[in-house]
Amino acid sequence: MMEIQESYRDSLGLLNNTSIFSENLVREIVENCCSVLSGKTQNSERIFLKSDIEIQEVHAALLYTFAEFIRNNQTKEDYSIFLRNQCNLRNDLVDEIEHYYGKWNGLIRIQLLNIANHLPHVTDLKWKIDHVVKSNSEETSAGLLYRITLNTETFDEHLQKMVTKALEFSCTSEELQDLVYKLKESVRHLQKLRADN
Amino acid sequence: MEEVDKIIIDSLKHINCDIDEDINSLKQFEPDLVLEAISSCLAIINPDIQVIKKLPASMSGKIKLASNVAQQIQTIGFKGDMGYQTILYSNEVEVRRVLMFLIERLPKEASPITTIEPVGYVARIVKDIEDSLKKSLNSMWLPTALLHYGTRQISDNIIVNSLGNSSELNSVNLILPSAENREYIPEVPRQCTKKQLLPSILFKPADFTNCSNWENLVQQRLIKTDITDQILDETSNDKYTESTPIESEKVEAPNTLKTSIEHLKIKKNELVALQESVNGLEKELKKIQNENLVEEKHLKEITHNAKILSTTLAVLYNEENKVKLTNSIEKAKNRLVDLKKQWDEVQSPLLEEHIALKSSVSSESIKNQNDGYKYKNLKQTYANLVRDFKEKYLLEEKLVEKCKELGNKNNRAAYTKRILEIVANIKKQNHEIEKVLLDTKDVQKDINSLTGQIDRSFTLSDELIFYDCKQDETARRAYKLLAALREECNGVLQAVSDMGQTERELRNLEEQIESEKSKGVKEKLEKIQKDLDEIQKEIKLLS
Repeated sequence: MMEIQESYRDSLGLLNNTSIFSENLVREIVENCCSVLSGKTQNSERIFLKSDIEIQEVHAALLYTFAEFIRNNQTKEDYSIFLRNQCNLRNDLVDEIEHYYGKWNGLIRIQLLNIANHLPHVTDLKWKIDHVVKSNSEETSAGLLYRITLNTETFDEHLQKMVTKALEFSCTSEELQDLVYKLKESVRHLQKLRADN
Repeated sequence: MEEVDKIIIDSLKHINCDIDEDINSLKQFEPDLVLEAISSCLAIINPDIQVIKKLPASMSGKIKLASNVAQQIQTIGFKGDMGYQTILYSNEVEVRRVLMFLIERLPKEASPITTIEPVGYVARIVKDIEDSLKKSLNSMWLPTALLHYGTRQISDNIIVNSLGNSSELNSVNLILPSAENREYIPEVPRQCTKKQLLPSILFKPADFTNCSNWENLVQQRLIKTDITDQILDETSNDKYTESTPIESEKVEAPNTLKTSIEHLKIKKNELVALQESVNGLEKELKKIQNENLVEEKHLKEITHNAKILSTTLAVLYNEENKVKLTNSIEKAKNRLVDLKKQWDEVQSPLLEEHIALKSSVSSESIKNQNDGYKYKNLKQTYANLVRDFKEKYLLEEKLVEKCKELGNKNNRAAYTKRILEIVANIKKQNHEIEKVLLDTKDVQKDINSLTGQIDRSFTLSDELIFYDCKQDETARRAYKLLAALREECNGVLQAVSDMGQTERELRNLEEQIESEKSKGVKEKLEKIQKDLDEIQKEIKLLS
């Protein structure tokens, strides 16, 4: 069983206070949390209009517990047990939050999966062949020259979104064969892994 | 049957059936083991069958389970008598029959069905990787545009096809609202970018301020500076983003903001300078505190020593104490003498006892030595006896072997039987020979009587015709013809007897040929011929 800090448990316990947290407000807060965690932009001004510190506390605690429970692959039953036993929430509240947890679980997990270091993802390839008839450089030998462009997808930290970048290079036919051979080898390796299993 | 049992047990071990090393035959199989063996086989023959490998404690449960298993075996096609009793009251023969049947039914490539669960973190991760690879290779390719954040869902599992949407783990320090912290804090999602939100919630950025001894103080200050930073950032951002034509009515707002920002900046700089000076002072304070600690330690030691010295001096300068001390020293001396006396009293009987014990020990050791000699002698005689016994044993074995050989040669009963048979045969043959002799005698008699008859009839006819010869010319001719006939007949008879003789000779010769053939002269000759040929070849080679 996971251990959640007491401060968060106390914060979630505030939800029992019906004078601040009406049914609609709870629903809005939870929905806002879910959509924020699943990477959607959400207008949260309406929730924080009252500028009650309790609302912010609950919001932050919900964000944390959702993320932590989904990170640890916990089911919605686990989450409801946590809410009921450790935060002492009312049953109707627990059911409401559990419902949202189950509904948004997959989308939030996808966001967690998207935290990673990675190589650019190749999506497409363009190529053309040049023929060097004569060159003034000693290093380039006459013959076929392949110009290859790999279209890759990568995340731009500055723009905060996915962009397509072109990766260009040129190579001789031997080098290209080498590359193709390596790609084929990796494909074979993957297929072998699959067959072994 | 032992061989069969071994094969069965070996096959059972091969299918991961837990059988002890001590068990060598089906006789030693307990009902539990029988059930385990049968159910292991069943599980491999038909993986769909649910099998239980342990007998339950209750009798009814046992019978139910056993009859269930028996039923399953019969559905596979076992023809023999099979019921719960076969498993519960295991009869060696029946169990052997059932197990042989089941082992014959095992799939030829008896690969153990039990899938090996990977143990350990790395092994499990590798297994997961393999599984997800398998799934993603089995699923259809989709262009990135159709994927949700580069992922797709395949039967409860999410597979990441493109990592184009993923960013590095980059977390920032979030300020979480709490009951104690009632200042204005922007709501959590606005404290960082969208991509930073999840990492920041889950993982705190590396924060070295915790290393400081003045944790609380510094943290509070840091939080305050952070807040100023963030407020600054926010206000500048707001200024940057919100100065859109729509809000052009608020022209004055930026100016006031600007002044307040500048004011804040100045304050911040002051704060930083103060913080630095405080840090420096803290360091000095720490240094001084350390020095202070060392000095205090030193002081404590010195005061302790001084106390001891002062008490000893006070004691020494008092006359009464001196007298007391001398008295106590004398007392101690007297006591020592007393103690010595007491010790002597205690020691002398103990010493005597010790001497007595020593003497007894020496006598014991002498006795032990004698016993040792005796033991050695006994050992020698034992060894001699053992040697004798071995020799005798070897002799016995030899004699037994000889006896066996003799027994083989003197198979008297068989020989006498054979002799009796031969004698009986010979008797039979004698009887037949006698019969043949009688026959030949009869034939001889017939021949003799016939020749006598011929002679008689010839002489009679000779006389008759001779009388008539004188009177009749034809009779004379007849007489001549008769004489010729007689001669011819004699010739014929002679020829017949000659033929018989030659036939006899022929038979003799044939017998001789047979006997010569039986000697194998021809083969021997061939062999000799071959040898000769080889020798000739060798001679040729040599020459």
